[in-house]
Amino acid sequence: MINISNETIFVKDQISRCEDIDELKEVVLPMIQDQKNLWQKKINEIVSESPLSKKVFAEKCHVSRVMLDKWLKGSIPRDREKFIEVALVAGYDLPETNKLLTRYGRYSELYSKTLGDCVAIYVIKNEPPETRSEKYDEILEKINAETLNIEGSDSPDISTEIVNQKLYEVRNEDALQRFIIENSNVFSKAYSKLFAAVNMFIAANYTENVEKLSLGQGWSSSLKHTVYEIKNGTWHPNRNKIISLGIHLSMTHEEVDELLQLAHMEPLYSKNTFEGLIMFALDSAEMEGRLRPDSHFETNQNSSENYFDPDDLLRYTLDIFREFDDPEVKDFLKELEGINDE
Amino acid sequence: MSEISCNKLLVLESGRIKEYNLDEKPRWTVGRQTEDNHPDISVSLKTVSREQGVFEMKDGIWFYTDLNSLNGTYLNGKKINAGFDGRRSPKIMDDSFTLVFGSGDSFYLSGFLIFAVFLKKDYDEDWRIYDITNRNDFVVNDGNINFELKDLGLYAFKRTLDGMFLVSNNILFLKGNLNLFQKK
Repeated sequence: MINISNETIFVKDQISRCEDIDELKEVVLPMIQDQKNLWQKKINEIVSESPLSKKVFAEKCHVSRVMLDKWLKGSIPRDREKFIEVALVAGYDLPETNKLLTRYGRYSELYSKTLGDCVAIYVIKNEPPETRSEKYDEILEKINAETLNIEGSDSPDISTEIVNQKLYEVRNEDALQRFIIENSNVFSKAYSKLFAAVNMFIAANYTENVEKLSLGQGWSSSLKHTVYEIKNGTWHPNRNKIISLGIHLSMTHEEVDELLQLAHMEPLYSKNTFEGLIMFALDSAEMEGRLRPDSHFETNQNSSENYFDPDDLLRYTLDIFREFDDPEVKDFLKELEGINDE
Repeated sequence: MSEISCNKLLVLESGRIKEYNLDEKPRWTVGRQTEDNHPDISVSLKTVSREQGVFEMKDGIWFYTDLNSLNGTYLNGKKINAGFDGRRSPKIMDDSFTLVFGSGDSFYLSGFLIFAVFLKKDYDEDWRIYDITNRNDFVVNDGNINFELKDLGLYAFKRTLDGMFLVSNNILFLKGNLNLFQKK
């Protein structure tokens, strides 16, 4: 877990105290040390210290040279996988990789109970720095869904400590293959609580109307696909999609944080402009008692007291985001407006 | 003594434990029993709402949802924010999670409450029950560690490596490899 500094707690507290968007702009945002600056400094340091050309570095990270240039200008990769690939190409050890993930990406540390992370931990511990990236790709390609015995999902949970301990004893690829097969049940359940939580939230609040909601709010096809994959238990969590889903489903700050934690990610982070705005929107909406039962949408409770406007939080967040001229904020605005179909 | 995987709810009322094996069906209502209201998990305490909450299983995971009850539900000592008006905020249940029904905001002071514990692990033996009226005099020991009962609240649940105990006011319930000792 990340140690949350006093400054972070202070900024979070200041966000929750802001009474309006002007106060947020004037008082709090200048205090926020933009995550982009941190990342920009770090990725420039990594690339300049690497013996690889930018072209090769980009290829090994499976991105275009143009994308690498964007990173170097401060654009933060949206995918946790990219942070892992950068760490592998940079030849980072486990603590350095975890620091890159948590401090610069706001993602969770490597987690041995997910397949990709398990392979990453193995290559970091057992492969020389210069071949880690290729070996990681090679092993993941070999292990397909058939390797995993999804049917064993009823067996009891094994603690992360035990999985870590067993993984650290794995010394070669054959042993890794055996380890993965033996623990396939663990990998298939890595996000089962997250999926169940989203499905339960939808069932409790929308029943059959989630489709109606998605049409009414104009969800992006990628967000609709996310819900489809969650229903089928096949989604690989993405931080911004979780936040987007939370806003579209009118979740509270606490509920969004719970989903992030079930995805093995850190809660919303106040020292980042984009997430600071999300926190402000969620906290203010709750304080202002938005989503009063005065709308036209009926929940599954069939009670006259159970009416609320399912679009209120989305509208409220959109209004806040539209006041900011920041590339990351604008990017997420597209997602909220249903335009962003990457 | 052997360990059993389960999804079970222990409910403490008037110094007695009621056990509900949640795996018997996917949905259990919680509330105060009245002439025309018969919840699956029924209590008689008046501060508990008739429709207090519901336990539901989804995709193999158990959830508890407070149904905007008058005096609310506390989960692990924190009041469940039932969400925006008319919303439902299901909470995932895990082993040793404690729930308090009907206490209102004076949770830590009030004795008028229903204490419940969600279990994913149980032992195939009966509870051993002790009077701990002078609780400062007692400790629970697991062979290595002493658990001072004076340090625990009026209601508390503790799981150890191979045992568990529950404190309800002046009564102690024990299971597994644990023993109660009176301090000299």
